Amino acid sequence: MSPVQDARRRAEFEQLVAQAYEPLQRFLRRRTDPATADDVLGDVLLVLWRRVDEIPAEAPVAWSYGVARGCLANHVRGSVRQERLVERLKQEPAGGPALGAEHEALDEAMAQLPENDRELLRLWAWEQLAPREIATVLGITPNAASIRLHRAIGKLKELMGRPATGGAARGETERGAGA
Amino acid sequence: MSNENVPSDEFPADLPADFDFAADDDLRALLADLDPMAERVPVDPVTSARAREQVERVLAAGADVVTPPAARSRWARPSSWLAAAAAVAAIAVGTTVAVTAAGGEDGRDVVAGPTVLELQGNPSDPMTSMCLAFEVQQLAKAPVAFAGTVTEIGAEQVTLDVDRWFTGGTADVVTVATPEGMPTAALDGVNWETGKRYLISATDGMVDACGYSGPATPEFETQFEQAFPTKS
Repeated sequence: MSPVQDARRRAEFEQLVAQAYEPLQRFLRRRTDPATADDVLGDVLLVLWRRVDEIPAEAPVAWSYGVARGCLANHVRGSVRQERLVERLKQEPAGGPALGAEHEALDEAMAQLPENDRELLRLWAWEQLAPREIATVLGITPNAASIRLHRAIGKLKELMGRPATGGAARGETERGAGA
Repeated sequence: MSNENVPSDEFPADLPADFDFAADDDLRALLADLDPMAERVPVDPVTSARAREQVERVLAAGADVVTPPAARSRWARPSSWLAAAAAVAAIAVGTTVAVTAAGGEDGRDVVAGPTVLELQGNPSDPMTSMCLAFEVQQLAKAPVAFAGTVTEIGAEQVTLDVDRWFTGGTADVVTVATPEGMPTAALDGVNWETGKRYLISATDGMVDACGYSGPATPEFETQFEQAFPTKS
């Protein structure tokens, strides 16, 4: 690799780290205990460096979440850490405002959802991603991300006894547009 | 590129790919209240010394920053691998055991020096190669597997002192050739380090990369033990 290429790759890596370092810590600590999050962050940085040529111009941070997801899955696979992860996800939000009955109902409803749905909802509400970015994280089409998120929201509302909102009717003519 | 390769049951409703779910903003906000890592919770800033140190470690060729073995996978042997393999084919002629000291004909040495197994480093470039998923069953197919500590890193070879053979040999010392032109990061972007212990598997005289060789960890060693159960 030429020094020029090397410098370019390095600059791209540093740029991504500048954008993603803090969000990645939040992403990991939302999904595992602090010690594991710390371990995995190191792995993630290494993989990001190795894959620096693949960083998409669009949604680089969401892409790095996808990398982090993979690293975390590998880290907890088949280990006792899996249990710690589950424990972690049941924890109370840290230092937030006092939670009311509505939050409790939501928390309970979340707990009843399959993990796939919970992850979609976290990416949407915690990482604040749009369906297109969620698609990048999960490695699925934007269209599929929209549909799955819609279904997950629907299930959540059902569990909370809320009426479903009529989202499905709004975009029928645009299905798959720009995907 | 709508809904290609997606089972039809993924689409019980029609939605555009960029549907914004604005109607559910209140639910989103409610859910955000449950976020254990909301913005108000501090994390290490990217400007911190710790962040800088992590980045520098990664940039230093990935040395000492190791993904868990399970995170890695086997090279899928793409064309770049073939090209690189051709370059070393003249040397990589299978697992050869060279006895450096004169030994008795029955194999029991009298004043034997260490027996030496010569291997080739894997020429795959970790940056470009594709790997298949790591599987213990795949590891079990390796004819050579051992654990050893690096005693010397030369310009063209790395020398390991073997402390444990899982299969395929009895040599006390293994050398892994790393000829010029091969990636310096011979083990999935992890550099050899003197004094560090590694778990190595090899096929056809070549070290298996892609997570099938790497720095020793208890988890990785367990996988080797599973792949090569002791015959007793």
